[in-house]
Formats: sequence, C-alpha cells, structure tokens
Amino acid sequence: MGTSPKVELSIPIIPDMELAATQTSEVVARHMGLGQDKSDEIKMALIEACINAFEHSKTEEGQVEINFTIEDNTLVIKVTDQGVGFDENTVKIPKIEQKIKSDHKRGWGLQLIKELMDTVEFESTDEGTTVTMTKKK
Amino acid sequence: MSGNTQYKDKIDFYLNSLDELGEVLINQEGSSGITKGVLRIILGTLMASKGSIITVKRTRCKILSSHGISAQQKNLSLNANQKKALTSFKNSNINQKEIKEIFDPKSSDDLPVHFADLKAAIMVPLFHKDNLLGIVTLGKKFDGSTYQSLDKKILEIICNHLTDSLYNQELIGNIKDKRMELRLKVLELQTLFDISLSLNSVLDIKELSTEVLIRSVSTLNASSGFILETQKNSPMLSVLSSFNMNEDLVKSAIFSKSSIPFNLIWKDKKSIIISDEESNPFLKKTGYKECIVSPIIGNRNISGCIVLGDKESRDGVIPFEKNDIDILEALSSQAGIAMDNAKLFEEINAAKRFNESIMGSIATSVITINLLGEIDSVNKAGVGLLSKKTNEIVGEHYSYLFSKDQNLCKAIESAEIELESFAELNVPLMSKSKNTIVNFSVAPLTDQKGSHLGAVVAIEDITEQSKIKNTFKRYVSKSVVDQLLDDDQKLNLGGEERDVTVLFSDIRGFTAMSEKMKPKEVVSTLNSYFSEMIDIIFKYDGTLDKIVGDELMVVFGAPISRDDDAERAVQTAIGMVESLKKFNDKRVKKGKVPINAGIGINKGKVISGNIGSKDQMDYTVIGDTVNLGARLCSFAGPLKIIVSKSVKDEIGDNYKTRKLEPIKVKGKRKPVEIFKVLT
Repeated sequence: MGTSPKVELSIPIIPDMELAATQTSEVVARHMGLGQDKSDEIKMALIEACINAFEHSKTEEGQVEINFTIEDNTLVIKVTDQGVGFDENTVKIPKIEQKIKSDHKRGWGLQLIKELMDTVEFESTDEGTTVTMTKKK
Repeated sequence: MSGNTQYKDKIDFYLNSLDELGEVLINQEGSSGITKGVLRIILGTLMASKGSIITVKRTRCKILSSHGISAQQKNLSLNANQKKALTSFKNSNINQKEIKEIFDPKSSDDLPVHFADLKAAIMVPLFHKDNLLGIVTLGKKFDGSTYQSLDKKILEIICNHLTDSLYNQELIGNIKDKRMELRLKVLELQTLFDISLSLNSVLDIKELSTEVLIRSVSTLNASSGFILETQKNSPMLSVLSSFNMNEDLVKSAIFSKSSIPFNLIWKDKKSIIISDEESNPFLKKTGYKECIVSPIIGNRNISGCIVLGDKESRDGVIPFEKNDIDILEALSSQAGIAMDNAKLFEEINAAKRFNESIMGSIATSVITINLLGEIDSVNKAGVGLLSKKTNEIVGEHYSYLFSKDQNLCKAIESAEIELESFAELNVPLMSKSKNTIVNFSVAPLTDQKGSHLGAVVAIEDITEQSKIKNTFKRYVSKSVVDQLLDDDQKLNLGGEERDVTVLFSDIRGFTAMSEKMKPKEVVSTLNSYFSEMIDIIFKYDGTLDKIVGDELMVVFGAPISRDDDAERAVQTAIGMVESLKKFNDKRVKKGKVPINAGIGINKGKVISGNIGSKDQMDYTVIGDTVNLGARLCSFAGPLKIIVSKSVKDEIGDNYKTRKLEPIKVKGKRKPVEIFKVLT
C-alpha cells in the first residue's frame, strides 16, 4: 500500500463517548492483524488518553480529535484536545511530563499509557495538548 | 535500572493507582459508575486485559462492568455451593486453579461460562461482614506473567475500597427506596387524612360516593372512574356515581357480581388491576386500556366497587402499579366506613321518621317530660288536644302546661318520685276545657340501662267515646255497680247455678262487609255501633258479658237477679233494633252500608262466677242456656228478635210475638220452640 491508511475521529466530551474511540481502535487493530491482547492494551491506553483529554478540555462544548494511522507495522494514535481555550491570558497548562514526574494525581493515566504502548509523546501548546502513542505489530 | 528502582517505580505507580481510585470513588455516582471506574483502575494497575465486576444479591448476579469480552447477558446466577466456597476466601484472592474448582469451566451455567470467557486468573469475592456483595475477576496480565504478591496485595486493597463503596451504595439505595416509600406513605396519609375529614362531614350517600370517586381519581391520576353499588336481593350492580365517564355507557351498562372481574373481587375481597388488553370483556365494556377495581368493604361485606381507568401521565396512559392498589384500598376502606356511616344515618333517619309518623298517627297524645320537668316532645295528637303550637308546648314546664289539672301534675310528680306508672280514667282535662274527658297515664321514662330520664304522659281524649263507658271496660251499668256496692251479700263470685236471661246480638254478613272496608273504618264503625248498643244495654241494667268481634253477649240476672230480667232483656232488644234503625238511616244518608244485626234471647239456668285461669278471671255465665241463646241469635234475621219459649212465658202478652217453626238444636232431641218478637 502506497499511502498509510488513516482513520479520523472526532468525539464530543460526553462520558462513555471514549468507547467510540475504543471500538474504532479495535477495528483498526484487527485490520492490522494485531493480537487480541495488543488490541486490548491499545484500548486501555486510548481510554486513558481520552479521559485525560476530557479533563483538560474544561469547556464541555469542545471535541476531542483522534487520528489512527497505520505506518508500516506500527499503529500511530494521536489524541488532541482543545485545551482550556485560546485566550493567551488563561492559566498555562502544566507540562504533562512535569505532571508525571511530580507524582501529580492526573499522571496515573499517562503513566499507564507509557506501560501499555511502545512509545508515547506529549506536545502541549496554548491551543491544546496532543498525545501521540504508537504500538508495533 | 536496578531492581530497587524498578520496585520503587512500581510502588509509585501503585500509590498513584490508589490516588486515582480515591478520585473515582469520590466523584462517581451510582454503583454502575463506580464499578466502571474501579475496573478501569484495577485493569490498569495490574496490567490485565480482561476483567469484570459482578454484584451479588442472594443468588442473583449482575455484571456491572466488564472489559475485554464481548457484551453478553447481564444477569447470572450463583448457586449455594459456589457461594459457600467463596465464603472461605473472604476478601482475599482466589487463584486460577481454585476458580476452576469453584466454577467448573465445563459447566454450561452462565456464571462459569462468564469466568471462562474472562480466562479468569484471579478473583476476589467482596464480602461486607458475612454478606457477599460482589466478585472482582481478572484475566491474565498482558505480559503473560503471573500475579505477584504485590499485585495481589494492591488488588485486595482496591477491592476493600470497592466493597466499602458497594456497601455504601447499597445503603444509599436502601435509603432512597425507603425515602421514596416514606414520601408515598406521607402522600397516602395526607390524602387519607384529607379524605377522612371530608368524608366524615358528608352523610348523604350519593354525595359521599361522588366525593370518594373524585378523590380516588385525582389521587391515582386516573382519567375517569365510577362507583358501583350492590342491590338488595339482586346480583346486579348499579352505578352510584361516575366521573368523566360516557353518560350513555354508565346508564346502559349492566354489571353483574358473577361476571368478570367482580366474581374475583367478591371471592378474594382484594383489588385487582385488569390489563390483558382486548381479551377482557370488562375492558371492552368500559373502553379502558387498563383499569383498577377495588371493593368497598364496610362491616365485612362488600357494599360496592370503585373502578378507575387509564392512569394518566405526561407520556400518555401508563400502567397502574402495586402502590396504586395500596392507596386505592386505603381509600376504599375509608369509603366503606364512611358509606356505612351514611347508610346507618339514613336508616336512623328513616327509623326516626317512622317513629314520628307512628307517634303522629296515633290518636293518643304522647308528651315526654325531661328531668327538669320541661316538655321534651309532643306528638301531633297532643298538639291538637292542647290547641297550642308545638313550640308553645316544648320547653314549657308541665306544671304551667297543666296548671288547671292538679291530679295530672300530681301523677307526673308521683311517677317521677316513685318510678311507677299512674293512671286516671274518665276525668276532665281542665287545661283544655271542662267538657274534655280524658284517660291519662303517666309512666317514668328510663333508658336501656334503667337510668331515669323523665316521664312520659299519654292522654287519651275520650270525650267522644266516653259514651262507650271507657272503651267497654265497664261492662256493668252504674246501677248494677251501685247495687253491688250496697249489698255485698248479693255478690257471690264463686260458681253458682242461677236463673238468668242472656241476650246475643251479632251483625249479619259482618265478615263480608268488613272485607270491603278499610280496617280503620271497620274499627270506627264498630265503635259507634257498640256505643249506641251499650247505651241501651245499660239503660235496662244489662251486664255486658263480652264482646267478640261483632257479637255482643248481655246477661240479665247476674250478678244480681231481678224479677223482670227477661222483660228487660226484650225491652233492650227492642231498643237496640229501634236505635239501630236510626243509626242505619244516618249511615245510608252518608252513603254507607246499613248494619244489620240480629238478636236472640234465652232464659234458663246457668253457672255463673269467675271463670278462667288464675291470671285472667272473667265474671261470666256458662251452660246450655247460653249456647241456645247464641243459636237463637244466629236464627234471627236482620233487625229481628228471636226468643225462646222460656222468655215468651216470662213476658206473656206484654209484647207481640209470633210463633215460628221449631228448630233442631244439637244435643237436644226435641225441636226447640221459638218466637219472633214483633216490633
């Protein structure tokens, strides 16, 4: 396949809506031929990422964008939230990395993601936070 | 990374897990939300892919949350053996082998199948004290490694928190249920209180049933309803009141106690909800989608039914619930009592009216006097007798009312003091006029327990009837009495044989005549007839021996004999016939039937004396002479007088007589000679 297959998903911030993401991940994982365990691990990591994103998006009208990309034998999932808003004056979101290191409450989910996935990267700007995680076949 | 660091990282992670767990337990609401959050943390903490949290209530299990298995049935069942086996692992973990021993993976029961799906590797039964609240089960770890003691420890810690939380949720659930129950009870009580207040003030049965119906319809949110009432000696139920119903339906519908659903109501005396759609004839008849029928039970009998149909809500018609039955039953039992009261009230009223009409219709004046001596009540005859208005009599003291009748006042006083009855006959009632002749009697008034309440005075106006010598009680004329009083010797009340003349008279065809008249008319006719006759009998000093129906028996010569007994008897007979002729003239003018009496007279030996039982003695005469006298009377035609030979011999030629054909009399061989007295 020339281009990398891509699935894009945008979910509203509503409890249990993360299940829409895990169902998608299950389909994508099956498409890639990932094992059930790996698929389950991805689902759990995705749930944590979504819950984190929900909690960051303090405005309940926002959406959480989820991208699934299959690159060679690797599934790349990006979960992007819209942050607290676009106002420069709003309080800056602490860096996720710092949160994990400082044993901050909210770090548990991200710590779990690290355990479950092969790689995890965080990118946080004023416009929001993106968690990029990968899982090899 | 050294082993130590790795261990420390793991501890850090576990501590974060507990931190996160606290967050979930605090923020999540309801056991479903909590178990979902807790399962997420357990799976994340122990790095397992599959797991479930099940709640247990007795033998029923419910999967509240699961992960890593396809959705399946939510309700499972736990058997007694499994439950017992779990008890030995109270709040501690059970390994894969032990799980398989308890939940046989080959079993096709739903619970073992569920655990097999999970590939259950570790399980913790959640006990709160001895009560099994739930089961946490996990599949294998992602990395395929076995659960380490640290894993087990953290799992148990989390599970303990979960147990606490589930227990709290159960308590909260119970409290919510209880609060709901209480709210309903309060509502029910309020409604019932309101209803009993309003029902107690209504005593008209129709009004009452309407009140009950409207209250019931509004309390249960029914769209309409009606109340059926039983009828005496009929299996049919009649509509007592209806609310929001089609009038035609209410008027034309026929409901029978023996038809569905009333047969069940009468059998079980319990309310029922009917909702089996079109198959039910009662729903067809009423047009209801669903209805609730409740018996109205008063005094242990079903006196009727409340029928309410189609419970309304914002979403349209919704089913009636158990609670509706409870409320309606409470309502209908209130209704039963209230309707019983109303019926009782109606009956008492009817009895009162009946009493009043009896009191009003009797000719005797009845006056009740209370303990203060004030007149409590007076009947219609009393009002008439005293020629005053009721309100002028009631409340007045008897000594004022009867100020001119000291004898009556004294009698009342005596009755009150001595608690005995007093009576006087044939006295003037001066309070009315000196020409008013009355019999009065005064009796003390007591209630059922014997407590003294006052007195009751009965006054019989006999001004008109006084001619009948105090209602025939004085059978002997005044002159006879005077003679008796003068000469005790002549009065021998023991049985003795003596010579007397007996006179019999009776009305021809009286029975046939009386059948055509009203009883009241018969009595008044007889009264005026006897009144006329007795006047004549006493004029000739006859002793009125007895009156039987329309028959009179008069004796001349007992208790006192006179030489002219037979002659006086004939004079009496002639007088009676003459008087009767005048009496009849008056009657005929009024368009009434004449009274045709015949008279027979015989003279001879009789046994006279007090004859009868110890309790009822009558001074009378008996013997053949008496019997023949009666026979002669029956031979006499209308307004005719027949006498025997002994009488004819006695009167000689003073009176014109004609000899008739001798008659045969039972017990006598020879025919008896008879004579007709010509008038």
